[in-house]
Amino acid sequence: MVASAAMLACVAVAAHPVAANADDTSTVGWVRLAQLSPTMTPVDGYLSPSAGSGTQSPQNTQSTQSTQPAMTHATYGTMSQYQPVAPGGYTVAMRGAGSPATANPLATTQLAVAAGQAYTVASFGTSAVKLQVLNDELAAPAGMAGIRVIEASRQSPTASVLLGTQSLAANLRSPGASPYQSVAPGMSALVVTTKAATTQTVSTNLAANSTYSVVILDGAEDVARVLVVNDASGMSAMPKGGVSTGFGGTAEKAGAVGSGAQTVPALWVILAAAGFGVVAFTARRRFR
Amino acid sequence: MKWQPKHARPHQWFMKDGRPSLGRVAAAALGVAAVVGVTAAIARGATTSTPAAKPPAPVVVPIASPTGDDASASSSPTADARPVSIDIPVINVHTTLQTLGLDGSGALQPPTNLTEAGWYTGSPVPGQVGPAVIAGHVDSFNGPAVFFDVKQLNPGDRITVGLSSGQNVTFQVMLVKHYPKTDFPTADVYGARPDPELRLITCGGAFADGHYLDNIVVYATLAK
Repeated sequence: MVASAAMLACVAVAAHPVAANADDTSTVGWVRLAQLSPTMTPVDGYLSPSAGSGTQSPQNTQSTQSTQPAMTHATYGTMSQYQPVAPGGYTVAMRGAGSPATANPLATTQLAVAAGQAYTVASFGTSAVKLQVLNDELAAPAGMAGIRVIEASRQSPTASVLLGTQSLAANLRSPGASPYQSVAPGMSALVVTTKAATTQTVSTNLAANSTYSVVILDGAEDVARVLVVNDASGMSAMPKGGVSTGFGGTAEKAGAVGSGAQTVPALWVILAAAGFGVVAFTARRRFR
Repeated sequence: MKWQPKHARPHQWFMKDGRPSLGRVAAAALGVAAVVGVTAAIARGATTSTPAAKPPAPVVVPIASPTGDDASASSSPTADARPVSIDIPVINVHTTLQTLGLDGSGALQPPTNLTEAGWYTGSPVPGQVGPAVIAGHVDSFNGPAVFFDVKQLNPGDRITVGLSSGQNVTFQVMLVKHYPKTDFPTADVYGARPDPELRLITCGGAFADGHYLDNIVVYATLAK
């Protein structure tokens, strides 16, 4: 019985689950579409894998068929949600809202999506509308927020933006985008100066470890419409390392030895010892 | 023991007619074994009946839609909603959620309840932009805990999180990864994301010095 218990223990130790390491976590990139042309009529936005790019759609990503608009009836100032897509080449097309997918697009562009990278594909301009690909940042330095300015106003050819006293963009030309800057998180006043002497203050609350875009649009009465868009969000406080979520009750055991079996060998040992004691005692008396 | 004539031998419990009685000794041995066994059983029972380890009746939260079609409708839950339940039908996980914070060292606190998972309050509300973090124990000292079968998840498997607002958000598994705790990829797991995502975290791998050496992380994106 002792031997069989020992064998069981050996079998239990031998069965060790092997960690299955697959590829990296950044198996997708992200794309959102934006209609930021003040003269463009409402559009449907299409995102489709480029022919021959070898782009394969993983089962968890949006099926990017050119017949299904990713953004429908998008008016000036509309930004879609981000879509996770497989890395590879894509074609973005904007067609008049309600037009068939086969209609000639008003504007198209090519986009190379890298894993772990996010993009905004925006319609920019007035007389000659074109699509422009902006690289979006997901990460900000630890504990900070990242923020940039997208100038898409016709009324105001340039814009300057302050966050508190920190300059985010100085005389940024339209259409265009500033680089991201790191700022302190929390409630802040966004001071937007468009035309000379036209200044407005927008209150905004920026979360740590998150990124934002400030979008300057045409507004009523020559006062710009200011959108603050959340690009990416993370933790308000970044945890350190992993998590201790186990006590070992199921660790390294063969499937045949279910939970609760660990006390059984101990009982066997006690019983075997007791039995051995009896035999030894009796034998000792007999042989004396 | 010095030899003595039969009549002079001290009478002991295991003696009968001046000789050791096999029957009496065997009976005593069995009795001792029985006491030890019962004691062990009671100790085991006591362990499993501590509040943390006792498996209460699982709280079954109704899943709003088997197809998960409500995910798109709930893609922008109200900001003050909180996740209250998680359902992973493929591994039969149906549990309420507690809230988790960080401990003194800055690490994510594990749930206090072995049969309940927990949502990290510093992560986004599930369904909002960014990675919502839900952790659960893989086991107790004796047997499986709430996230024991999380390692069995495969890409495409669905996870539904119930919110205090009554909405449900459905995710689908993208990746299941094993990491040594000494080399935990904080940026991959907790880093900002531009779409609503979910992370499930539990323990795995080898067990040494009272700790599992690995974490298992499930990466999920909003179900389409």
